[in-house]
Amino acid sequence: MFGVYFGKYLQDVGVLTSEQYVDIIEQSRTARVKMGLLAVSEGFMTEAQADEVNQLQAMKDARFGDIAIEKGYLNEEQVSALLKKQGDSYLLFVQALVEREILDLEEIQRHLNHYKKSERLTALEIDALKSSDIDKIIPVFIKDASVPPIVRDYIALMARNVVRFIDNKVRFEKIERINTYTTKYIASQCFTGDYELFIGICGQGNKIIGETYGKEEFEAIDEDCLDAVCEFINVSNGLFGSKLSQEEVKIDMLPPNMYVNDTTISTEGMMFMLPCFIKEQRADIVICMETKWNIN
Amino acid sequence: MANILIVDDSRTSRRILKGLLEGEGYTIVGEAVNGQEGYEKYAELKPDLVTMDITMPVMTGVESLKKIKGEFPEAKIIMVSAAGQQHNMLEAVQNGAAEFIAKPFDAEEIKKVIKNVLES
Repeated sequence: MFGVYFGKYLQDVGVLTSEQYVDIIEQSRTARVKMGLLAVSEGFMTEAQADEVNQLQAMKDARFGDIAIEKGYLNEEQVSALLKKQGDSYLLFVQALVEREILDLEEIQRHLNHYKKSERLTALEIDALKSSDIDKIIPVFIKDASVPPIVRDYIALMARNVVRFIDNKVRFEKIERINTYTTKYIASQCFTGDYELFIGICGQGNKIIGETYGKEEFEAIDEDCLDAVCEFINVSNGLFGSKLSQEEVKIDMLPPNMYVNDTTISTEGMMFMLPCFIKEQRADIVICMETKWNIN
Repeated sequence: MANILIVDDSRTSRRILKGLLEGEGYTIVGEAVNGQEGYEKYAELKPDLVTMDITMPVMTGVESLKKIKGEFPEAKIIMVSAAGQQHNMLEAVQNGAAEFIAKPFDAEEIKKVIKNVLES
C-alpha cells in the first residue's frame, strides 16, 4: 500500500507520469492474494474452514488471520508466514520502479527522504505506511488531537471495510476539521442513541464504490449507484454498532439517505472529512457529531 | 418451488437477493420497499416465505413482522440485516422470526437458511 502514497508523491514532483503511476499500482494489485485462498493452497486450512472464517468476518470487524487463530485453524506463525507470502507491497513498488528504469535504488532512497521531509513523517510513520497494515496506516492521517475517539474508531473501521470490500490500494489523506461541506453526491446514514452521528460518503468516488460493492456498472452517479454505496455504509455501520454494543453502548441505525443534487452539510459542532482516493477517484468520508447538523 | 417475497428498502440488496434465489429455482412473487408495503404484499400474495430487512423507512422490519405474524401466524419470515442489530434481532425472534441472514450476503449461507426454514 505504501506504493500509492510514495507513488503519488513521485507523480507530484514529476518523476512519474500519471500513466506510469496508475500502471505500477495496477501491476502490484494483482500480486496480492487473498488470505483464505493462500491458507488453503498452503494446506494450513480446509476450504470449509476458510469459508467459515469468511462468513464470521461478515459478522464482526476482525481480520481473517485473527479469526482463524481464535477458531484454532491457524497459529500465529502460520498467519505471519501467510502475510509474508501475500507480498511486500513496498518491495513490489520499488521493483517496478527499478525494472522500468525510472529510478535506481539510490535515487529511490533520495526521493524517499524528500517525501518523508515534505510530508513531515517520522520513521515510525514511514514504517506504518510500508506495513500494508491499515490499522497502523490510518493513525498517520488522523494526527489532529481534536478528533474524538469515537470518530477515530469509526474511521479505522470504515478504512478496513474500504480495503476489504472495495480496494486494497486505497489512498487516504489527512483528516480535516470543517464546518461546511458541499458536493453533488452523498450516500449517508445516521446513528442515534448514546451517540448521534452522521456518516456520509461524498463526491465522484461514489461511482467506483457503488460499482464495486453492488457488482454492477452505472453510467453515472444516480440513485441506484448511491443505493449501493448506502448498502456499503449500512454494512460498515452494522459492524461498528456490533462493536459498540459489546462495550454496552446503545445505538440504532436509521434508514440510509442519498442526495444527488448540490447539497451542503453544515454544523456548528464537530464535522470531520477524511479524503479517500480509490483508483484516483476521490470519495470523502464525512462525519458529524454532537450538535445537530443541517443538510440543504 | 417456493414463492418468496423480498422486503428491503435497498434496491441493491433486493437485486442481489433476487438473483441468488432465482438462481436456486425459487420464484420471487413480489418486492416491497418498506415494512408497510411488505405487510400489504404479504396479505395480497401469501408467499411461502418472506425475507425482511430490519432498518427501513415508513415501517421497520420488526414492526412489519409483528403485524404479519399477528394476522397470519403461519407466516415464515427470515430477518435480514447488517450486524449490530442484536436488540432488534432479539425482538424479532421473540415475535416469531424464523431465522436471520446477515449482510453482506453469503450465497451458501442464504441457500442453507432458506431451505431449512421452508422444510421446517
